[in-house]
Amino acid sequence: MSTQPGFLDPELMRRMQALELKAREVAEGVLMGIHHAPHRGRSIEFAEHKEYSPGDDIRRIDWKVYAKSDRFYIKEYEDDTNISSIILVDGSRSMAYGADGAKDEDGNPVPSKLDRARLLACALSYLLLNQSDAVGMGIMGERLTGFLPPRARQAHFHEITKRLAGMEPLPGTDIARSLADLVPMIKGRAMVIIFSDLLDDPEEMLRALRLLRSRRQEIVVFHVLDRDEIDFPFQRLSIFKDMEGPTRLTVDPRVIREEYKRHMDEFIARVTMECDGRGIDYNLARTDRSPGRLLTSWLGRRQALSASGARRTR
Amino acid sequence: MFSFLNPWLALGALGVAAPILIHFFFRRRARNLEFPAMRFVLLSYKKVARKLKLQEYLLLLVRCLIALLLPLALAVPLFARSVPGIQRGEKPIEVVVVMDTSLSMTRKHGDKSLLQKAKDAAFTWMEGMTEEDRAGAIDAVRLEGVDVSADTGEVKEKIAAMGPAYRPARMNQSLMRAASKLSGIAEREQMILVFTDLQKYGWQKTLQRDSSLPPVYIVDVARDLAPDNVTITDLAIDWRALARDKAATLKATVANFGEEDLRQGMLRVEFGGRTVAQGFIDVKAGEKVEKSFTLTEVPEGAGVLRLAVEDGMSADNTYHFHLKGGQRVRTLIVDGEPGTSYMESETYFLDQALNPRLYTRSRINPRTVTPHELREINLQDYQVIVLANVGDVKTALTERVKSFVRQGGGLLFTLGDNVDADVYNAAWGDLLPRELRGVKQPYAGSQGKKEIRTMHLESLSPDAEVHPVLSVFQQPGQGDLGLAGFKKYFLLQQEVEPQSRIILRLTDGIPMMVESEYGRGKTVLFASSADREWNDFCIHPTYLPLFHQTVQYLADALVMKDAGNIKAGSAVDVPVPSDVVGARVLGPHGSSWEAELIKEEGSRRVRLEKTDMPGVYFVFFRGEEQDDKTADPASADRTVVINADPIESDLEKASTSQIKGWSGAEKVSIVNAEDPEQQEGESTIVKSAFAIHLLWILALLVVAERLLTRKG
Repeated sequence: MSTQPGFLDPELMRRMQALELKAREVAEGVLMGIHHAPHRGRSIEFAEHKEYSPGDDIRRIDWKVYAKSDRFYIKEYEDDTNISSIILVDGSRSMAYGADGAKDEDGNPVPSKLDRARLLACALSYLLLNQSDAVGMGIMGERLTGFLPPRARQAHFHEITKRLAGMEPLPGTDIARSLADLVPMIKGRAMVIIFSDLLDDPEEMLRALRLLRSRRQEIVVFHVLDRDEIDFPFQRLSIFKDMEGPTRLTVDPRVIREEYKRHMDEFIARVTMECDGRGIDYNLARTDRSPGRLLTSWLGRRQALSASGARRTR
Repeated sequence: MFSFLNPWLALGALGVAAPILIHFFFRRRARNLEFPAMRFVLLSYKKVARKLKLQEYLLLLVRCLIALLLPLALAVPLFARSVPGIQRGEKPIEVVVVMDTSLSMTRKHGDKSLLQKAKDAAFTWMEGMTEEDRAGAIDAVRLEGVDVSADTGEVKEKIAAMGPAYRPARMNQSLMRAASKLSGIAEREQMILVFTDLQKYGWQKTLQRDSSLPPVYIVDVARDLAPDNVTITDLAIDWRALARDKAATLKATVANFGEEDLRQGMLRVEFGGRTVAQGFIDVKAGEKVEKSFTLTEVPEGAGVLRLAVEDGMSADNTYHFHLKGGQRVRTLIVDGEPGTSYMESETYFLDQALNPRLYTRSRINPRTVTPHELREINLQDYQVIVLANVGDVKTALTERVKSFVRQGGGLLFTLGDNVDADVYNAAWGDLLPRELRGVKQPYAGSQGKKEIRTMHLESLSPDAEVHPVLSVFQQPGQGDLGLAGFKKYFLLQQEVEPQSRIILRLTDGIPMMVESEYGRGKTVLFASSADREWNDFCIHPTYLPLFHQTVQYLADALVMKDAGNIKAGSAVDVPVPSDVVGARVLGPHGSSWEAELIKEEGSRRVRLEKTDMPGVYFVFFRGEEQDDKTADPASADRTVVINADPIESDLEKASTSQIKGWSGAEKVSIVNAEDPEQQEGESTIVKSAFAIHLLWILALLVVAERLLTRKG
């Protein structure tokens, strides 16, 4: 951060420019992908799910949600007006992890989770602002910090970029508290897009998500995880150190690999199931996956969802 | 008690500390790794922590065991427990006494031989036997003995009568025989008592373990006796018999089995008690040397090599041998076709061959006469008669010649134009080795051509067994019999049941020289001429030695050298003539006995079995109408030389562990010779097979280690 008021730190400037450039590149790629997608739309159309009550039009039942959750939900459409989006990025120290020397799908070096989250957040901001949606952001740590209210101005993109570029790893994580801090800041309905590794107390975190969802906010979760966290490929005897605490453990990773993967898979499955059950759009975002493809895939899926027979209700 | 066959290898067991040290102080370096999903790491570890710890300690234990057991297995552990000396229990005992009577027991220990000492120890122990006890005995060399019985007096008599043998003991067979004499009943305590000097060659053949053997108690009567011994182990005689005498060379091998060098030891060659040659020898401990003697005046008869040294065992300091041959052979040649000049006579070449006159010391002294002159000659003045192409075969002549051969003379027929097959067959009858069938002149090509074909004698193979007459041709440089060419010869009668022995053949198998016996004498028939009329044999270098050897053979005057390589105790077969009905043997030290005559198809022989004593054995043949000859060795028909087995001269003792490994018995004890009821120092049972079990355990441990590290 610049030490002089009114002036940007040159390093920060550089990071901002690099981030913007990259985000635009990704966003342009996404837009290209969307234009070639079979399902087109004037804009991103977002649907809201409501639990089915007798008397609702059964043609609007979202069968995909039923398949995942065994519950009937119908889709309700908002007026074709621009909505607010709030992008939350997990700024905890655990997000600073990145595998050394790995390459992603495009052959580029795999970044840290934080860098990946930053890029995705930036690119998404660009896309939303491009279609005149209001975009805000916040940084999740032990509390919600760096909050920017949603604005639809193009210049807001730079502000977002600046905040994201200037993020430093925070000592701890409390996603639940951060989400709780967000609730009074949201005016009306908004889409909350979360970029986090979700490595927090799962019960509290899920409760917070459910609470937010109960306030009829659209929630999208990008679960950002490194390849190492998912595959646990380590071979050598290692002293594992917690990035957010004093815990350390010396163990041969080969001995615990099977058990670790089982726990991680269970965790991801649980979060997925909980999100699907609450109508939360869950996406696993591996850092070794191309960010452009990730966003393209997600946006395409959402377009297909809205174009598959949803009807606006007045 | 616990010991090792290779104790220094057991030190490797200290390596058990290595896995422990590595585990605690030299663990693999761990790398530091900051990891975000620590919660899952902890959860996973908690689940496997206990199992990991257990695996880790198990692996440490397995590795320690491998480090401990591998060197122990290589060191071959020996578990033992003490077995007391011969302790009497409540039950009556049944014992077989095995007495080692091998040559090594002739050594002196104090004023007694070891054999006598062994007997005294046996008698002393047997004095403690009760009326209910039973005993038997076995001679460990001869394997003769007396069965187990209550008559211990008979057993003692048998033991007292056991004399030394000049050959090794056969311990494993002795133990087996001893065990077979025991009843095996539970009411009696069974045991075998062995009195021996533990000389290792008596034990070495024991390889198979036999759990059925009862306890074996070994009394070492040679305790504290040094294994010093020098002996003559071999003799080679080089004495060639050709037209001229040559010096005989005796090459003796002397071995020093002791621990000290022999300096200036005296080695003598004696004949009839008289020293004919002697020399000093030096032999280092554990080594052998060769000493040669050259005898220019070759005596005949039994000779002795004598080693005049003071060593641990004197019984093997003499080595016997026998030389025979070299006496003059008086030969009468009857010229059946004397020519107008000497060189034209039938017998010119033969006479020249038998007495070349180029060599002044030919053994053969031929006299050539005509058939007419033969009437005036006393045939008994000669040893061999040669009838060379003699056609005039009046009855008076044939009867005289038959009588001559019957009484032991030798007769050689050579043929020619004067010989008529029918006349010869009728006149000579059985004296001819084979009837004549007519003259053969082989032709080559078709029947219309008269081209005479030359036949040749079969060449000899160096390794083939040949007639004594031909033995000289197996030495290098004696020429090739196959070069002589024969254009004319007599065909001989084929025999369905051979009565004669073929000495030489032509290459097409036709016999050329055959031999037979007639009474006490021998006849040889040469089917062609002795001159150049029918063949060119006489101009080949093999002509001279062939007829030289034939004449000496007919006179029993072939050079015979017996270097005494037959070992004491061996059975020897001596071929005998057809009219021999028995044979008497005169052994060393004046012993005499009748030898067994063995008649088999095509061969007759006498078998000498009582050859325990080294020395010269003289065999005297006896005909049907003949009384026993005066036992004068000079008139012996055959001689056989026996020497002690040199293996008994190596007095090295078997070690205690070797005895226990070789004996085949499960329970073996070395007991005090003075008091067999007392245990000797390391008398124990040994089970050395434990090393195998250790190796199996190690193999399992290695597999376990691999499995643990694989999961780890």
